[in-house]
Amino acid sequence: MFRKELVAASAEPLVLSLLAQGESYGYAIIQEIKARSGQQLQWTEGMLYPVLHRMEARGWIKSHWAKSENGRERKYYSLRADGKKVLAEQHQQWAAVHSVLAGLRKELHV
Amino acid sequence: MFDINHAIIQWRRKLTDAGIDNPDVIAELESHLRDEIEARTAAGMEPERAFEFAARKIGQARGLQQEFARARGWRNLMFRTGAGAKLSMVVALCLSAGLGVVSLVDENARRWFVFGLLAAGFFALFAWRRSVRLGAVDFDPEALALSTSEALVLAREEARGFNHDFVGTEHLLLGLLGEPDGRATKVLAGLGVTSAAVRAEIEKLVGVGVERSSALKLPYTPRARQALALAHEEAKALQQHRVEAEHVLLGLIREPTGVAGRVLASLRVDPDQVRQQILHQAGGPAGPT
Repeated sequence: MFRKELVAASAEPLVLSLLAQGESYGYAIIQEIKARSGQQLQWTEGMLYPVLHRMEARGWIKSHWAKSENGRERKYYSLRADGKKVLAEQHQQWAAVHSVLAGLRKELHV
Repeated sequence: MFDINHAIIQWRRKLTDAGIDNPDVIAELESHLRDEIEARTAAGMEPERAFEFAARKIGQARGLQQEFARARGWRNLMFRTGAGAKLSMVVALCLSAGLGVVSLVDENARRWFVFGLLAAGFFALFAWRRSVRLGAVDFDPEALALSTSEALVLAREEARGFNHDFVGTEHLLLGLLGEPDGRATKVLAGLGVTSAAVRAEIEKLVGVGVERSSALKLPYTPRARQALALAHEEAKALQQHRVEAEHVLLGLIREPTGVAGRVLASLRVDPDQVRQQILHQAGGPAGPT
């Protein structure tokens, strides 16, 4: 089980990365993240939608309603230019954290 | 027969009641709900169960609620703060202002001025904390179990039925009794309490209003809000993160001077017995699923 803080902190870069591959909607995002994490990241609606709405308010992503293959309307989100910049920034920061962590871990086993 | 569209209409109304009043957000959540239901039914779940499952999951959307509560936060602070809290803030401010004026002429009073300011600060902090604690009930509906939210809707209808323009502890009690399979109903029935008996007592104690209130949403009385706050405490104490009907009942019996408390007393219900029976049952399965 992931810590709540880690889930919250990683939500933005994960959603942005997913949307960088193409537009998507809330339900599909949750399923996709669940599958990609080997069921380890099980996001709740209460976690995801506020994150989406917040990022939209900040102008990182935009949304539109469109009919899906089953005939129902869904709200699709996609990346905006600002979102791409933020994503690059967050990637760089996560990479930095990861490299320090990996380095320290390696030293531990030397 | 279970009608999915009807169920979803009801569900939408509940979201609105809970304070999510942005049609776009409601539409988005409905689309999510339908996706979840479709996935579950495709996996072989009965539509009704699938609906309940999906609605419950979204009902736990604490973050969503907070998102909307924040937008309303200001209004609540201005208008929902308890009268007591407002009064103590005003008194504290007047006191310190008075001391401030005196301190201009009297050397000695300057020391008191500082003391008064400190006291005012503490007062205000205490009042604010208390108002937040009391006010929190209204804005934490997602902590309520599905059946509890339903009981609250019933309570509101009961209040209207009496032509009362508020939702009091007595209506909450009737709302709880409106759930025939609920634990609270079972405990009360075991002690001989029925809806009809409670209604009769309310008519005796409070009476029936002459005119139906035109207010769209009847406000809770301070005692009803306190009872709901106590219900949250009870749920927490029992280490359950959903507020169930029985927790509301525990909250009600902790307010013995409220109308519900008086109704129960005149029906010769012993609060300690109610508590014991609920706690005794708390270890068992959570009612029919």
